[in-house]
Formats: sequence, C-alpha cells, structure tokens
Amino acid sequence: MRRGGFRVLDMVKPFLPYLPEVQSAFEKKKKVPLREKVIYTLTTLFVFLVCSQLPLYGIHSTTGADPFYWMRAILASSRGTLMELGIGPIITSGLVMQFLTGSKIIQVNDEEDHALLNAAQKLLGVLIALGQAVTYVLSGMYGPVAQLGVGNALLIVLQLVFAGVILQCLDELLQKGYGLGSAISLFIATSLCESVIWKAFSPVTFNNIGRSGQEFEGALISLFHNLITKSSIRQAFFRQSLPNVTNLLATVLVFLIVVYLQGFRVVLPVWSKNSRQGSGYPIKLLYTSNMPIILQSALVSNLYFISQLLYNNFSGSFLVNLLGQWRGPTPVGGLAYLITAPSSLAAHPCHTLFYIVFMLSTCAFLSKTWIEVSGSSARDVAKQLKKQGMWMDGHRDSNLHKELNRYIPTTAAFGGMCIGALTVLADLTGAIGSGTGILLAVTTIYQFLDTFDKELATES
Amino acid sequence: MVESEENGVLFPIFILTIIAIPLVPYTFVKLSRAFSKKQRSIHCQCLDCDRSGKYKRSLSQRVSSFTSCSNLTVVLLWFVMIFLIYYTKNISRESQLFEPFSILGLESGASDSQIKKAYRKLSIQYHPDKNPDPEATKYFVESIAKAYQALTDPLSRENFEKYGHPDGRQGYKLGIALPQFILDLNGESGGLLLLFTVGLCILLPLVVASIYLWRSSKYTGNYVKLQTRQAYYELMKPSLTTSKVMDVFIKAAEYTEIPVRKTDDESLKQLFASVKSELSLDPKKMKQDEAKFWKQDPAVIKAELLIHKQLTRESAVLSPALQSDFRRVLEFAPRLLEDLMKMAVIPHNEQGHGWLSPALGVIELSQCIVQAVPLSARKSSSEDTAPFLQLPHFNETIAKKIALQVGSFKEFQELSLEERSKVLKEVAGLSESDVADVEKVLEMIPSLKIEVTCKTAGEEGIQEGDVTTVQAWITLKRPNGLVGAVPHSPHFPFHKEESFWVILADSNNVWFFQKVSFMDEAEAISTASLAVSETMESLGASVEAKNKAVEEAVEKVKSGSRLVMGRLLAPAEGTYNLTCFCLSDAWIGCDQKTSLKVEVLKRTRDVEGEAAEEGMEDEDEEDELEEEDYESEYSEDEEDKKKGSKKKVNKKESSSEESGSDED
Repeated sequence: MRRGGFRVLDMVKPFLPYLPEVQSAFEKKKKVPLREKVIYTLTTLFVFLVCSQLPLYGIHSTTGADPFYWMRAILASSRGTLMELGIGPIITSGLVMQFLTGSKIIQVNDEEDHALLNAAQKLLGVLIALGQAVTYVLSGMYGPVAQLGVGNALLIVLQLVFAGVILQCLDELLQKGYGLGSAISLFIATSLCESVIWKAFSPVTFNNIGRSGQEFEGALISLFHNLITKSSIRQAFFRQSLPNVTNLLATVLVFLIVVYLQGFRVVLPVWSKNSRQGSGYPIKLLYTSNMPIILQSALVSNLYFISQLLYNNFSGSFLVNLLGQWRGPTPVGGLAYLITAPSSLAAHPCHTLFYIVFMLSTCAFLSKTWIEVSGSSARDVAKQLKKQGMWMDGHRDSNLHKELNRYIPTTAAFGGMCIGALTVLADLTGAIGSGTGILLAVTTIYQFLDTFDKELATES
Repeated sequence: MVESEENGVLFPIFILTIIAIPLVPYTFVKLSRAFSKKQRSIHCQCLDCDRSGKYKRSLSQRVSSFTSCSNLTVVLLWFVMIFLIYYTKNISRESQLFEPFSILGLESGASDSQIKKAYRKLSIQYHPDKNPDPEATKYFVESIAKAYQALTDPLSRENFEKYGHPDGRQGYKLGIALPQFILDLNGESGGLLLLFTVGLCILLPLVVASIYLWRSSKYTGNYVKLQTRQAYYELMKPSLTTSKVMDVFIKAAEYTEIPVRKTDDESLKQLFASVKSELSLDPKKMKQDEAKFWKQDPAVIKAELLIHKQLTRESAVLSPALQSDFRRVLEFAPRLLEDLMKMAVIPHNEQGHGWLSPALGVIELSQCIVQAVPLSARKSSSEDTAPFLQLPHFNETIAKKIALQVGSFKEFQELSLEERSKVLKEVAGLSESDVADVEKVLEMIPSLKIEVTCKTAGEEGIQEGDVTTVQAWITLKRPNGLVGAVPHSPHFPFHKEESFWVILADSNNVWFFQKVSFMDEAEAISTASLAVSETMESLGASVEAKNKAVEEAVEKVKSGSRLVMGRLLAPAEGTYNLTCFCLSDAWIGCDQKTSLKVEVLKRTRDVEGEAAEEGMEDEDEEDELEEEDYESEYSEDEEDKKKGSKKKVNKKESSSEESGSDED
C-alpha cells in the first residue's frame, strides 16, 4: 500500500524521539482497575485546577477588553494564568488532523502510520501553542513588550507552551486507558461547573451606591439575603446586572432536558452470524453528541475574533462594519451582532428570529457534515457491522447500508437541531455559562456517569 | 462606619445560606423517613427470636438511636441557623437609600408646587429657627434641605433620575463577605490563617484519601480481605464435603487476625473436649488426628472451636473474653461465606465452569451456622432432623421423635393445623403457646418455585457456540404472605438477611450462578424491566410488545418473583441434563431444584463461508484500528459503541475458535 515519493507524515519522524508519550494501558494488556482510573482522573483534574489558578510569572497587566471572552467557556481557559490557552491548541490540532485524514489528504495505512499520526497531532498542538503564545505576547495582552522586557516575554511564552504540553500529556493519559473518558471534555465540564457554583454561592458583594445597597453576587445567597433583610425576593429573581435565581433555574431546566433527550434512541435489531446472538444497535437522537455545538461555537468565536480585529483597525470600511461593530467585548452591529444571543426576546424580534434560524440551521448542517468526516455515516457503520459479522433480520447485506441510511442522516440532522434549539433556549433564558457551555458540560457529565456505570458493571 | 456594620451582617448571611441549603432538604428527608418507618415488621415473631434481643430495642437503645451523631448535628445546625437569622434580623437595617420624595412625604413624580409646599410645611416643623432641638437641625440639614435641593435644582434632579443620587454617578464598591480579620492578611493572624487553610483544605483531604486508599486496597468490594479471597481460591477443590469446606472457611485472614491470649489455652482445651464428637476426626487414628489438629495455627483452632460451639448452641458457657471472640467470628461469617461461595462457583476450568460440590457444602455450612444446627445432624441421612431443629422449642430428642412420627419435614409442613398441633402436643409434649410459636416460624419458612429456560434468543434450537440466554423466574411464597423477610434465626446474634443462590449445573460443573435477594423490590423491578426490555429490543420487537413484556415482568416481580438472567456460551454438541438449584443461605430444608434438558445441535451455518470471512477479517483488523484513532476525542458515545463492538468481535472470535477445535 505504501506509495513511493514524499508523504507529509514522514516529516514528523525526526521529532518522534523528543515527543513525550504515555505508554498505552491497552498495550500492556493490563486492566486498570476502576479505583485506579478514578484516582488518575481526579489527579488530572487537580492538576488542571491548579494550573488554572497559578498566575503567569512576568506579566504586567491583564486589564482591558478580553478578545477571547466568548471562547473561554469552551476552551476551559482562564485569563492571566497558566491555562491562558486552555485546551485550544489540543482541540485545534485534533480538528485539523481529523479533517486532513477525513478528506484523505493524509493517508494512514498501518500501525506505524498511526503512531506517526499521533505524533503529528501532538507536534501540531505544541506548534499551535507556541504560535498562540507568541501572538499573545506580541499583541501586548500582558502589557507592551518593551515594558515587559525580552527575558520576561520569553519566559511567558515558555510557560504557556509548557502548560500546553502538560495538558497534552494529561489528555493522553486519560485517553490511553488510565482514566475515564477524555480530559478535554472533563476540563470543559469542570470549568462550567465551577462557574455555576460560583454564581450560585459567590460571597463577593457589590455595593452600587445610591441604587440598591449591598448585594451578593451569588444568586442563592442573594435570595437568602433578600429574604432576611428585605422580606422581598423579587430582586433576587429578576435582577439584571448580577446572576439571579431565574438563571440558575434555567440552568437546571436545560440540564434536565439534555439528560432526558439522551435517552431517546432507535434500536435496530442486528444479529451476529457466528454466535447467533441478537443484539440491538442503538442510534441515539443525539447521534453526534455535542459535536455540532463545538463546531458551531468554534466557527462563531473565530468570526468574532476576526471581526473584532478588523473593526479595531479599519472601523470605517463598509464591509468591516457589515461583519461586525463592537463596543468593548460586545458586538453591537453587523453580522456578529445578529448571531449573538439577544439580551431579551421581545425587544428585538427580528434579531431573535435570525439568531434562532441561524443556530438551528448551522447546527443541523454541521452535524450532518460531521458524520461524514468522522467516519460514523451510514456507509461506515454498515461496513463496520459487516466486518463484525452482523446482519439485520430480513435484509440482505447490501441492504444494511440503505436501512441505516434511513435513520442516520435524519437522526444526525434532527439531533443537531435539537442541540441548537437547546442552546437557544439556554441563551434566551439566560442560563449560567452560555448555552454552549451547559450543553457541553451536561453531555460530558452524562457520558462520564455512563462510562462509570459500565466500568462498575464489568468490574463486579 | 456603616460599611463595616453591613459587612458584619453579610458574613452570617453567607454562612446561613451554606448551612440552610443542604440542611433543609436533609431534615425533610429524615422526617419523612422517620414517619414512614412505621411499617409491618418483617422479622420472625416467635418467642425465641424475641428473647434473642436482636429485634427488640430497649428504651435506652431507642433513645440512643434517636440521639445519634447525625441527628444531634442536625438539631445543632438548626439552632445555629435560628440564631443567625435572629442575629441578622436584629442587626441589619434597611439600607438607607436617599429617597427625596419620601423624605418630603410625597408621591414620586410630584409637581414643583407640591414639592415647595411640602418643603415649607416641614421647614416649619424642623427649621433651626423654629425648632431648637439639635436632632431636628441635623435632620433638616442632612435630609430635608438636600431632598428639596435635589428635586428643585435641574442638574441635581437629572443626576438623581439617572444615577439615583443627586451628586452624580457613585460607582460600584466591591467587597467580600468574610469577617474583617480574615481580610487583614498581614501579621500573625495571616500566618495562622495560611496554616489553617493549607491544613484544612489540602492536607486533610489528602490524609483522608490516602487512608481510604490504603484501607480499601486490602479489601475486595464485599469488605472481605483480598488475602482471604486468595486463600479461599487456592484451597478450593472440585469436590469438598461440608466438614472440609469448614476447614477452608476458617482459614480466612479475618480469623487468623483474632488474637490468641495466653489464658485461652486452658479454655480452648475444654472447648475441644466438649465438641470433640463434632470434629471430623477419624476414630481409629484419634491420637494422630488430635495432634495434627493442635498443630494448626492457634487462631484457626480457636475459630473452628468457636464455630462448633455455635453449631451446638452452647455459647452460653464461654468465658467473657471468648464470648467477644465468638461474636467477632460470627459477625464476619455471612460475608466470608458469601465470598467462599463465589470462589466455589467462579470459573475454574477453560470451559468457564465452576464446581457444584463445594458450593453445596458452603450453603450447608451457612445454613448450619445461621440456624445453629450441628453438621452431624445434616449427615444422618436416614431421618433428616436438621430442618426440625430450626423450629423453636425443639431439641434433638424432640426432633427425632417428630421425625419418626411424620417422616420428612415437608410432610410435617403439609399437615393441617389441627393435626400438627396434635402431633406437637402428644409426641413432643409442647404447650399451647409453644405450638403457636412453632406455627409462627412455619409461616415464615419460604417455599420456592423455579421456572427456568435456556435458549438462543430468536432462534429455534441451540447450536454450538451460540450465546445462550438463561432465564429463570424464582417465585417465593410464605404462608404469612410476606415476600422480603428476615429469617427466623434466634441463635445467630446478628442481623442476617436471607439470600438465595441460583445455580445452573451439569453434574459438578456450574454453568451459571447468581445471587438473588427478595428484600429490595424497587431494585428488582428496575433490573427485571431493564433486562426484559433489552432482550425485546434486540429481538426487534415493536414498542408496544416491549412495553407489554416489561409490564408483565413488573407484575411478576411485585407478586414475589425475581428474574435471574444470564448469558453463556453453548458448549459442544450433545444433550445435557442440567439441574437448576435455588439454595437458601439461611433456611434449612427449603432448597429447590429442577432439572432441565438442553439439546445442543451441530452448527448448521456453512463453515467455509465463515472461514473465508475470517480470513478477510484479519486484513480488515488494521482498518479498524485506524478508524478507532480517527475517533474524535470529544464524541465519547461513539467510542463506547466501538468498545461494545470490539467486545462483540472478541466474543465471536472465541466462539469460532471453540467450534473449530470441536470439529478437530
């Protein structure tokens, strides 16, 4: 199968010995017990949490508008700390590799290629981290470079890159059978849960002098505060500037809906030829899981980034204004404004309508595209089932593909739309941590529990 | 000044919330549970059980259970909460907002003339010229004049409408609701605080976690030491008699850890003399056997002797020191027996079969220990007196007499009420109340029914290498109508729940086993409905059919049946006479077995095609590996699917291998 000539993957070979690698638990043929897996997962989480609290050494200031404000939730990053880049480099390199292999630009044929691909992905991740870190420093996010000094600037870049490498290793550790699920989703879920807990119980007080007196940031604490001192809880439910109880309830509602939707599935009866055992092949309604929303938010946040950049530099141009007009970190006009969740439903009906249509259609479209790219389309599934000697009752082998095709694309598109609709719901009700974030967190938590249950079942 | 005062209120409110959010629901749950607890008692009501003191709780015990640690904490926290509410209510005032309209006694939005009028009226009352009181002067300057100015001066009024204050925008003030001393982080208190934080938030969890890990690494999931399990596994033999099972049973690490005191020697010798007849010593080589017995680990000897004391119901004569050891030995017994059972039936050979004979021995031992019936009573096969011995007021002589009169225990159970009481009174000489006790226990004794099927789902017959589904419905009935109940066991000093073992075996080979409990109905319903719906789904049944089957299963579970389901790989071609056992670990004489004939046919599918497919598979394997790697990191359910499919592949391979070897 190996063709002569130059292959992109071979370029990675010289770097192979220098890339850190986790030895796979599957390779060692050793089953890691559940207790150890839980410990590994918790340790990983701990390292991540510490990293997202440790401030960067050598930075000058982190004030001013945050251009990555919209990405923080999905990238699990926190400003001014080691986790400044978050999981961005890993996600980006993973997506790039997925697209390259999916579109057959890179061909992977044997075991060796497969190791090379892994290495390439890691290398790309490090490069992206390096690139991003250098851009951040040069763009003056931590104060002008002249003020920082070359030494400090280099130190900052080094810290960021090293944090990226650590994250990569952690992710690999969990992926290779030592932990439950994947590190990336774990981090996203954690940072969201953190923000929900903070917004419910934050002890920080605001004193808006003249308007309202002392107020708690935490919604639940504010509820109690109002109950005791003012005997009116209206404010705790409906205040605008700080998180309120309604937001918290909306978060819970979205959480419940997602869990409910996870149970929807169609089970296709398939039979194993050899053991003659019937088993169901479940096709979930959320077939592509949270993928459409990840892609959608990646798309949107990139668009924001570009638009913001352009607006700051060439604000006069008509085209740039059409793309987006900004006031601080919030878009106030143009396309960027239209695809942002409106602050209230009734005040801007046109905006709301456009936003809903945009969300639903992009999610459905991305979901349908994703199954083709990721190798979970009807054709791939049919091939896979055939390989396992499975067939469907009352259908010939060739029909399996057709039968699956009746379900999978529809499910993917409809599931994507459901996810989109949920995001809209979450955004409009003001659920804490943006609709995307909640959705990611809920699906992740659900999957973690699922894996945990399965592990527990196999253990006993 | 006002600031610090208000901050003083905020911290209690924060604490209050943190306490209240878990406390209120927890209290409700506790209370509702306490009220719903008044249900039918499910333990035996006979005199013996009452006297054993296991179920009856004295007044002091009741008080102590009420004043348990958690209850006290709840009450304490409620007091703290009430105090905090009272404190904050007292200390806090409505934060004083500047509201010029209300100061002037007007509705908001009043006209200029009204404002002037009100101002004049108040001036008469408070103006320093009219009212010499310094309080009034202060109020006039600080509030009234300011309010009047705010409402009449155009600039001030605009500021007031926009920002809520006549002097313009006031801005935010950030604070944190913690006591002042924590916020002053310098000096001594800072260092102390840091120490406190590090100790409480980092070191404490670490210590707790490491202690937990260290402890749990020694135990299996069932609180049995790993060492014990290993010893059991190594000592297990394909066929063991009950007394040999006893020898294995006492080798548990839990028992070897019981300390042997110097003073025990003498009393152990006495114990030995009293239970000598029960020990399985060869009467011909008594001397050697005895010497051999004493050569064992002293802790093991002690455990064995104490267990024999339990079997012969003579625990009352033990010295206080030995009494505590005795309780310890019995406390561990149910868990250890369960583990021993598992070690007997888990796969021991390549076909994945366990051993039946030691399993039966373990069950017998378990029944004997719980009911305190000597092993020798089980051995005499001529007339089975053992089941009679579990009835109250029975001793060996009475049991023998009754057994001679009525025959087996089953016949005794089937007698009518009058006949039985007549027999009991005349033959055994029991009084009226004793007979009533016996009846109570007889009503507790369960009768079991097994319906077992073994087939390949969706196919007509079973072929070699099929994944076969074993499905068994175990129905339990007691004359008194209870389903989940605590067995009558007056001589066993601890709470013991009855559980049943379902074992499917072919001569000595255990094909399939599962433990069944009738206590938790809700869980049984959920597992049964899940199992049924999964089977129906894989058969491709419609939703209605599935729901109907699930409903039926739930009905059955509610009426006292439990579903036992498992999968096994069909063995080589042939006819197998299987026996399905349902064994109780607490009751003697209610075990059931049914036979089941399973015919395994030769494989009919064309083998050549299969071989060709397998050949292809090897090539494809690599593709699969790659595909797995393309898997995105985020979509985990796909990964799960893959894992599932991989399992299937493995299963299939093993099955095809097996069929291949059979053909050879």
